[in-house]
This record gives sequence, structure tokens and C-alpha cells, in this order.
Amino acid sequence: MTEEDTADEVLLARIAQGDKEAMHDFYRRHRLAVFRFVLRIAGDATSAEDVANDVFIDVYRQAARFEGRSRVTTWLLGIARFKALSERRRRRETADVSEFEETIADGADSPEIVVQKQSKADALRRCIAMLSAEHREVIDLVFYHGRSLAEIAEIAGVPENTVKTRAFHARRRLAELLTQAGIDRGWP
Amino acid sequence: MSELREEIEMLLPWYANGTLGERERAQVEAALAADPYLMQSLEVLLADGDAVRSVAEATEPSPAMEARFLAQLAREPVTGGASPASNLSSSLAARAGRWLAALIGAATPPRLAYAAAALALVFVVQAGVIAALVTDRGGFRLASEDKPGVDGPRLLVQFVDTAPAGALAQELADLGARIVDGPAGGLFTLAFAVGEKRPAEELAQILRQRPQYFRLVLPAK
Repeated sequence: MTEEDTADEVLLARIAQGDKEAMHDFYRRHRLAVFRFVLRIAGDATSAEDVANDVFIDVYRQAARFEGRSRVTTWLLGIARFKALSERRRRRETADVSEFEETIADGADSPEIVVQKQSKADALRRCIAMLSAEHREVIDLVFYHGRSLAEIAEIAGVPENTVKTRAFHARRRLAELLTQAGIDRGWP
Repeated sequence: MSELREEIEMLLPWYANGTLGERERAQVEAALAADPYLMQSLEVLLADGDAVRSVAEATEPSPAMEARFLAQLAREPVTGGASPASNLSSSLAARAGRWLAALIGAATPPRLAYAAAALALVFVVQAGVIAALVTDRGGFRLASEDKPGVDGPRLLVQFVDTAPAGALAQELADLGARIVDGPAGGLFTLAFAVGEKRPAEELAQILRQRPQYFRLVLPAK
């Protein structure tokens, strides 16, 4: 457990006692990570802000239920994932989002157009944005949130082998998109 | 692709983000040294990781997000009284109190362990200072908090489980610090002498340079 994890547990203990100042501190520590995680799933910045705020309100209400079996931030991302998926389902039901928008987050450009417009690094970033929500989630959890295999399995509610396979396919898909955009990186 | 190569390649993302256990990390490193294909895969992966972080960091919430949250939070009723620590045998507070409880040779439930821990510290550290314990909804307040002489800067600390009590007492005496409250949420409040001129942040840095005694040092309110 890192010092950061310990600080989170301390704050959560205070939040469980109804300490709103501790809640605000906790919010400031994690709002960016939660917002960005939710955004990958919900797909819309305005709803992502509202969903992220709801996540923290849930933390305030449920802090006493934290059982300490995982890191506080893993528990937090688990709540965020559940709420973001609910929001995505709601938007789909109300036709705010199409399947296409959901899987091709960055819209209209084909990979060929992307590479014409952008440098190689930019093309890589834009191809990442074109991954499916499921693939994007796992690579975000690995590279942006720095989560272990076991933590991602817990957050996503799937076995570790599924997480490994998902990450592998996400990388393959990214390589395919880059190949379509004319970029060969010598792998796979 | 050989089975071993595939197995290692599946682990590479977690090798790259530094979260693999010792055994798996050694396996991956041995395979990387022997297989140029895997090394190439890792290089691509590292570039992907940089790009993923760059994409994530390019998105910022609006400044209004926090204001909306605070408005929501203000509407929430204060729901205190239930500490996660009370649910957890392995909680932070329980861990903080464990070694102190052990000093008096008692295997006690967490709440009793807190009292034992506070008492042990009073006896060990404050060496003769008479402190009355007043319970406060599961936390403990030492009457010595109000004694003159320790109204200087304050810090919240968590002690290292294995710190020898005698050495810790000497360290606190050398620092001119006393324990005036705790444990609450696993933390004790240290108060420095009235005449202490150094600001709390500087004192916190000094304590952080003593990781053999202090596991965590935070500013007090």
C-alpha cells in the first residue's frame, strides 16, 4: 500500500463520519481520473461531468460500506464504471447515442484521412480514440490509471484471463487501424 | 506464435505499467532478453502507452463541474457515525493500533485496541504526563491536548508498525513533539512546543525524512 492509498483510507474514514471537507479533499484528488474514466465509457463530456459528480456523491453516502478488500481507488473506479455504463444505456435508450458514435468515438475521418492530416504520433492518438469502448477502457486502465491485472478484473467484473485477452485484442485492433492509415510499426 | 511467447505478450501491458509481481516480472524479462519479437512488441506498447496518456490528459472537465458537485454535496444530509474502520479487521486504524495494542499483550477488538494504543502511547511517549481519556463517538481525545506548552504547529501522523517504542519516544522528545490526540482513522495528532518557530510544512518534511518511525505525515487542520 502506498502513502497515497493510506491518505485515501484516512479521508474515507472521515467521509464516513460525515466530514464534507474530507469529501471535498477526496474529490479534488480523484475528480480528473474519474471524469476521464467515465468519459471513455459515457462518450459525452457534459454527461461525464454529471456522472462523475454522482460517483462522488455515492462515495459520500457509501463510505462506511468500504470494506478495505481493495485499494480505495479501485473501489472508486468500480462505482464509476457502473454509473457510466448505466448512463450509456440510458443515452442509448433515449437515442442520444448511436452504436456508431459509441464505437467510433472520434467521428468521421477514415484512417487514411487521419494520417494525411496528422503526424504519426497524432495518427496514433486518433486511432486510439477510434477503438471500441471495451478496448479503450482496458488500455486506459493499464496506461492512464496504472492498474494491475487483478484490479482491472475487479473493476470490470471479469476474470483476469478475459482482461488479458481484451488488452491483447485492443493492441491488435490498434495495429490494424494504424496499418490502414499506412503506418507499419513492425508489430505484430 | 509459440505458447510461451503468447503468454508473455499477454503480460507485457502490466510489465510496462510496473504492476507485475516479482516472479512474473522475472519471467517477462528473461523472455524479452531471448526474443527480439517480444522486445519489438514492448517498444510498440510503450509508444501506445504514451499516446493513451496523452489522449486521456487532453480532456479536462469544465470549471463548473466542481461548483456543481459542491452544491450537490451541500444538499446531502450529514450522515456520520459509521466508520469503515469499524467494519474492517485490516483497516488502517486497526493496523495503526495493532503494534501498540501488542505492547500491552492484549488481543482486543479494534475499538478496544484504539484505547489501548492511545494509553500505550501516553505511557511510553509522554512519560509521566497524566492524561485523561475522554471517549468521543468511537474516537478518543486526550485531555493533555489542552495543556500549555504544546500549542505549536500540529501534524497528523501514522507510525510505522515495527518502530521500537523506546526509540520512537526518544525521537518525539528530540523533536519537541507530543501526541495530543488519536488515534482517529489510524492517525495521531502531534503537537509541537509553543516556541517552535518552524512552520508545519517544514516540520512535516523533517518527519518524512524519518520513515523508520513515520509511515504517513499529513498537515493537521
